[in-house]
Amino acid sequence: MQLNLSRRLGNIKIGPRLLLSYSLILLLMISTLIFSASTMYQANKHATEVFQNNYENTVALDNIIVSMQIVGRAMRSIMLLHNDPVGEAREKKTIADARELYKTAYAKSEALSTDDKSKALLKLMNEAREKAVAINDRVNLLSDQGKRDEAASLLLNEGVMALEARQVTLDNYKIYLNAQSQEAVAEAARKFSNAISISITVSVVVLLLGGFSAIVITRSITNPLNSFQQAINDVRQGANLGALAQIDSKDEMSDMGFAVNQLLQDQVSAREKAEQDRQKSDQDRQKAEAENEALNNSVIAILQAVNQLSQKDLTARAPVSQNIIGTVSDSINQLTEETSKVLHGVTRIAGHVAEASGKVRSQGDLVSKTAADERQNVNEMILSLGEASKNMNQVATLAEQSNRSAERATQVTETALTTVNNTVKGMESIRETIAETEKRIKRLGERSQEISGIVNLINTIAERTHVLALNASMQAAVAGEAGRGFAVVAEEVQRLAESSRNATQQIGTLVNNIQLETNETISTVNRTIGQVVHGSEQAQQAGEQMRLTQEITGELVAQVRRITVASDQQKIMSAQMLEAVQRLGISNEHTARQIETQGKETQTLMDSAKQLVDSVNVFKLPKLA
Amino acid sequence: MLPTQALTARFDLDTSSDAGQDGRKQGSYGKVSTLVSGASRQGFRIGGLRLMIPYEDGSELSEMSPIHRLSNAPDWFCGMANLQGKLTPVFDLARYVGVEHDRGAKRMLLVLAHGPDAAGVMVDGLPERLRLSDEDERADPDVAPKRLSPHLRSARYIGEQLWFDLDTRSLLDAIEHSIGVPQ
Repeated sequence: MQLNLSRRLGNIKIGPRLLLSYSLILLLMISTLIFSASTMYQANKHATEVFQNNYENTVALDNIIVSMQIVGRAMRSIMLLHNDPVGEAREKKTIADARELYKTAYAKSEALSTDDKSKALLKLMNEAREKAVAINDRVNLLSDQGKRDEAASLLLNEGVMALEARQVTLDNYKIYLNAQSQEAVAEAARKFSNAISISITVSVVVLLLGGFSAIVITRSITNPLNSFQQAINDVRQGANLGALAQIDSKDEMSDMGFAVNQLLQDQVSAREKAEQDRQKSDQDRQKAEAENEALNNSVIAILQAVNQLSQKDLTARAPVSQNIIGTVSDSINQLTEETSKVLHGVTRIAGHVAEASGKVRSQGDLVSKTAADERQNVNEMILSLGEASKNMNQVATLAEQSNRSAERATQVTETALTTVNNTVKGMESIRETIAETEKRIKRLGERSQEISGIVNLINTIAERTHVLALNASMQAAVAGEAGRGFAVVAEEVQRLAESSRNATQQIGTLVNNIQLETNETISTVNRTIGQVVHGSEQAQQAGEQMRLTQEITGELVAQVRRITVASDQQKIMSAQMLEAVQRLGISNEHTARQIETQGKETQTLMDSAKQLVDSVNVFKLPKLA
Repeated sequence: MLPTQALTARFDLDTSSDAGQDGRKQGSYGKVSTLVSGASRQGFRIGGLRLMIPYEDGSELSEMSPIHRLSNAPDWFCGMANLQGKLTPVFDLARYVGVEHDRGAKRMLLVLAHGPDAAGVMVDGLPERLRLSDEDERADPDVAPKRLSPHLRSARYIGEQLWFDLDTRSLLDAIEHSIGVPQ
């Protein structure tokens, strides 16, 4: 097969043959390099775009999560604040700032989302957020209207459900981004692997083709020369025409072969003619011998030049004589010059190959540098995700603390409820005691009324005594001197009666005062009973409120526990995302190693080009004009 | 009424009445000889009007008895009351002099004069014993209601209250005269 190929190549001139062969090798190498560089550049570009896009999207998503956490914390603070308008205004300002942060982050995410699925997930996330915002606005409106219980109930029921729904949309969006990153990593790795495999395969094929073509071309040149040398030696040793080399090719070697054959045929013909004419004429024989000697010398010179050429010294030239051998020498010299030009071309092309390999090496270095930048970006992303994971851990810790605080609030509420119930029982006991006191005071009032009746009786007696004393005084006065002593007695009786009356009046006044004070005391006791009843009702209402507070606190505890569970899940997902990015970093390291391998392969290609130049340089070539 | 009593009473009353009238004519107060320091008087009230009489001018003090009005009698003539079997005319001095009774005080019936001249007047509350003193500040009796002024002997402040010394005889005569004259 190789002989057939060499024979077929022999139909082509040596110069175009070498040019075609090396051009084919060079074209394959350049195509391989362009293909590998293009594939790796596109893979790198795609992976870089996806990573950059997902990194910015992750940052925006973290801002969205942060805004959501800020709003949730501010809403809970508003619910816990009572009669603190400054604190509520501060928390509402915090909510407004967080919403601005969300708008900025959402606009960023919307701008970064290019495919339909991410847009749909983003739209779902925004719809869940709008529901949560609407519920928060309703909660704020109810809180402003003083309906704190209704606001707290709305926040704890619909608000937490909306928050959870929103968290689900956020998680879906994050999962989608993570999957997109992993897909980009796999795509980049696959493209790099394919490019490297193709490059290695094509490089091996090119090397094999180059070696094979070099061997074939070399043999297509050296085989005819050896054949000619063998034929010439045979002819020199007296062989007949059967020793002439058979010429199958149509290149310069065939021309030279034809010339050599012609020369040998001429030599043989001349030798035969001389042999035939030797007997005819000695002069002709001598002349023929001389001519033959000259021809032999010329042939020897040609053979020496050919021998020098076979020693890969293309600077050798055959002497051009005036005889027919001169034509052969000229042909050999022309062949040598053409071969030198081709080898010069080969050397130049090999230099171009080496230069192209150097550029490929440079491009590989650039790709390696880009991969290094990418690794740095991935490391920064790992640091950012580590910080985000740390923040999420802090959020989880805060959620745990909130859970413990809520449980303490439940215990305190239970204690307060017990205290309020004891207060209600105490108020009932006080009411019973005051009712008993009222009965006793009423009985005291009745006793004082009885005293008043007795006092009235005494007063009546005193008045009648007074009247009697006055009548006695008047009668004594009428009696004149006779009644003067009686008048004194009557006066004393009247004075006693007045004293009694004054005393009874004072007693009556005191009794009236006692009755008034008793009535006032009864009124006070009744008011106190009313206040105690009102206090008991308020205490019962307080107990009911405390019971509602206990229920709401229980719901709050349950919600905080769910938040804690969600925070733990979020922490786990963050850790998974961090792990995925770390895997991405490892993939980048692997890619960098593959790029380094490619650089080594490129170096090998450069070495091959150099070896090609060296293999051509074994020919000693004349200097170009 | 015994003649000695009536005589004594008339004597005292006339003396007081004359002295009071002289005092008013002289334009000076407290010159009644009968109002000696340390003497006692029976004081009673009719609304805001405080009057005092000697004890011997009164004959009885009692609760309000049923009073039987007489037709065509003046409104200040309340009617006749049966006091221990004696028909006694009862007058409302408040209406007579134009003052209002003390609605919060217990209404009592004080019988002035004795025997057939006895007449009852409605007083507010129980009478009280007054002890006269030279240190009592004198007052102008003309500040009393006009219909009563002619029957006052004098006026003085006992404690912080203004008391008018009533001429019972003059008052009863005036009332008797008034009853005879159509109003």
